[in-house]
Amino acid sequence: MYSREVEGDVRTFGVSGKLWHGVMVMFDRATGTLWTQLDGRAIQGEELGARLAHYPSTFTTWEKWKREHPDTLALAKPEDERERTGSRYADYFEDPDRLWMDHLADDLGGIRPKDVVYGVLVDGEALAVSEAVLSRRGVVNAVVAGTPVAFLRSETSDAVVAVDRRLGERVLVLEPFKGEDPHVRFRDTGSGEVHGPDELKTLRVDRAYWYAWSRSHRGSRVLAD
Amino acid sequence: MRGARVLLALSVALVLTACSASSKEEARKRELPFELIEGEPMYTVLLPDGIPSIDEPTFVGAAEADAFLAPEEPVMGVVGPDGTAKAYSCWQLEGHEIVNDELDGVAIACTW
Repeated sequence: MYSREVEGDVRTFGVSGKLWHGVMVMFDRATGTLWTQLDGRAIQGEELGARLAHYPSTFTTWEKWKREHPDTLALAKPEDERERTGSRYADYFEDPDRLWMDHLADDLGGIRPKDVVYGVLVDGEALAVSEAVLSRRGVVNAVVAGTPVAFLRSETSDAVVAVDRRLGERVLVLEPFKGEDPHVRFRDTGSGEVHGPDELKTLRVDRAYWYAWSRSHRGSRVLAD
Repeated sequence: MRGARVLLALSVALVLTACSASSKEEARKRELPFELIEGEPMYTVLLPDGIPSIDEPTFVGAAEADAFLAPEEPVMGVVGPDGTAKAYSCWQLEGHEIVNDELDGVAIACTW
């Protein structure tokens, strides 16, 4: 439960459809900023750095709540929602093998010292992506020190570039694009426009073994299988 | 709820240390577009508003609510600064995730 106030302004929140740390991410309708439900922090967009104030609430049963608060109101439930009796995620909660969208499984694996990674350093913050993940995806969008970046790998030349995803006022979210044009292209998922990496500001990206990168960039994050 | 989910995930992770996680989940994860935020993937599962938030909630009194709330139905309860109490059914919240509400003049978001 959170306060809806951001710097004195009341916002309305919607479901972004994204999951981070296995938990639903919200967006505010005024700015499109993404907020994590984990602790109410803004994690991407205009309000990055802001945090929603927590509002005290109680998780209990209807019976118990009514006993404590006989005058309570309850959220109206339309007819078509009254049939559901039980959680639709019951098998997630009851099945010990289901880790729905939970990244914790990744932590159990890990990157090996001789795995090749591509790394960037932005404002003192380091991020590396394993060659395996980048080869499979073609594009990895990320945010490093508040800067939206992308690692782009060309299918034709195996060359890897890292770019700043800001183009004018916009932040692009890139995906690989296969067109007839032999030049390397990427598409912005938001607008559908196709861009070449030369249109965006490039960042220095280093190719290294993970053990070398992590040693010279202590605390570097890594995305690997 | 969120706390319970994290706790469950953590305890499951400990149990699975020696074995591999469901390969179906892993395969499903790999198909989803993602971007990294603070080094952690943020997966795009649905379009914005693919799950509709409740932006203009309406409420009924406890007696009327008994018609559609089971005694054992899990709810999120809040009390406002003037003592107004409200309950939001968690089963109902699963279909909306967010209720944008106002309680005694305080704008709050009930999130699930």
